[in-house]
Amino acid sequence: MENKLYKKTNKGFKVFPRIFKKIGVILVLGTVLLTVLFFVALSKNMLSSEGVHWVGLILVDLLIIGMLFFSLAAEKIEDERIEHIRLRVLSSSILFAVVFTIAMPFAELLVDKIWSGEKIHSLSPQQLIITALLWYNFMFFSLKRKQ
Amino acid sequence: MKTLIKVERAKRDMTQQDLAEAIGVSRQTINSIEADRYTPSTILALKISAFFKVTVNEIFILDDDD
Repeated sequence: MENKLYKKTNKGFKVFPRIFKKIGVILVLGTVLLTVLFFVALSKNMLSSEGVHWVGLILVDLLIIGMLFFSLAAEKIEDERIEHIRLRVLSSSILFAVVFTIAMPFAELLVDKIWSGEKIHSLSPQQLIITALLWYNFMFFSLKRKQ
Repeated sequence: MKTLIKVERAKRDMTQQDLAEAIGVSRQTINSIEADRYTPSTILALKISAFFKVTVNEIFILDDDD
C-alpha cells in the first residue's frame, strides 16, 4: 500500500521490493550454514590455504549482500513514518561507522598491548560494513517499535 | 502538537487500523501520531482532516512550546 501523492512529491529512499527481505534472510542463514561446513572442512584439512582465503572472502561477501538486502527491503507498508525512521537510522549509521573506524584500531591496540604487545591494526572494509549494517538493523527495529 | 484524531475516531467508532487503511499508512503510524511521537507531513495531515471532513486546525492543535 502506498501513498501516491506523497511518493510523487517526496522522492524517498529507493528501497528493494519486499521479497528481498526473505532473500536476505535466506542468504544470511545460508552463509551461517556454509560457515559451519567451512569450519568442518577446515578441521579436516580439506581446503588449501588459497582455498581458505577465497571461501572465507566469498562467505563474508554473501553475508554482506544478505544483510544489505534485508536492511533495504521495503516494509509491509512503506509510509512516510518509515522513511523518516530510515533517514534517522541512516544518519546514525554513518556517525556510528565514523566513530567505529576511529575508535576500533585504538581499542584493538589496547587489547593487543595487554595480550601480546602487537602493533596497531586498521579495520577491513568488510568488518566496517558488517558492523554498520548490524547497527542500522538494530536502530531501525528499535525505532520502529518506539517511534 | 495536540491531536484530536482519537476523538474523531471515537465519534465514528473507528479503529486505528480502519483509519490507517483508509488513508494508506500503517496502524503504527496512526498510533505514533496520536501519541505525539510522530508529526505527520502536510499531505498526511490534509488527508486525515479530509477523511474526517474537518479542517487541519480542528484536528491538529499547536502546543505553546511548538
